[in-house]
Amino acid sequence: MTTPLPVDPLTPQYRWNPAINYGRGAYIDAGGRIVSQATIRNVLDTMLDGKTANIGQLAEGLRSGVLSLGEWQTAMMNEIKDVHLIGAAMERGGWANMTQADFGRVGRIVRDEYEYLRNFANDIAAGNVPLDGRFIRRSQLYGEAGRDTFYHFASVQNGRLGFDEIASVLHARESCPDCIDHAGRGFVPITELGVSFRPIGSRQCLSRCKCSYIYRRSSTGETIEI
Amino acid sequence: MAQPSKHFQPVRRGPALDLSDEDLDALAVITEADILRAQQEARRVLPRKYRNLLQATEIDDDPPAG
Repeated sequence: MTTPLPVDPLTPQYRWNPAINYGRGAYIDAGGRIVSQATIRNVLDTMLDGKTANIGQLAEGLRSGVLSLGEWQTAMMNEIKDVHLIGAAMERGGWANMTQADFGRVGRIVRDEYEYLRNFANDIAAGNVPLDGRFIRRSQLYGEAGRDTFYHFASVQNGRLGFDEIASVLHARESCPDCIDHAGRGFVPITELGVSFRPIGSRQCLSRCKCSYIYRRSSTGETIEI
Repeated sequence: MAQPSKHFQPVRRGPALDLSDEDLDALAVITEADILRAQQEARRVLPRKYRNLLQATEIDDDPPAG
């Protein structure tokens, strides 16, 4: 008799099967079918949309004077941790699969984001950032960055499993020039990620990017889309 | 009479937090409390039907009384 796969509170509608999909694991539905990456991405987007709405409310709070700048900054720091933890856990197949090393990796991402936020807050304090719609939009990019962490974790994991090539795939109705350029390159060595091949989240469309990646093992031609 | 500014300025802006690089290093460490909060937040933003599903699963997982 097989032990049923555990439910993880992150995605109670699916289970994570660590043994399938070339040993990298995948979400499966109640019928045992592998859940498409588009569906998983949609779940992640829904969660990040909820968090981004929170961030919008915080921005409104600062604008209206309900929050001081320090209070806004403190609350934003919590939001930043939340979205990167959610993005990472989603890619790893749930909270139960997060290791200490994973949390350490999230911490390093959060550290960089905190530095950007500190600069942003200092600019606000100096009066260099008008608290208009652009301020709200820029604040919300911190929430959408959880998606970048999802793809960062996928790249690390797939690289470990021998997927040594990566390609970028367009999904947005209108893509930015960077994303169009990257999609046109086809497969490149995964070692180029972050070098000549800009990761999702660091292109012109920033964290709003809707692209996905395909990873390929050059030796066998096996592919995984994330 | 003075016209209001096009860009609304807050009443309570105040200073930014005075954070050194070392402060950021320390604050960015993921703690148990951070994980619990993120889990609660993830649950809060789950669509209602999945939240209900999660609650039902948790009730099923409760050990029998006695």
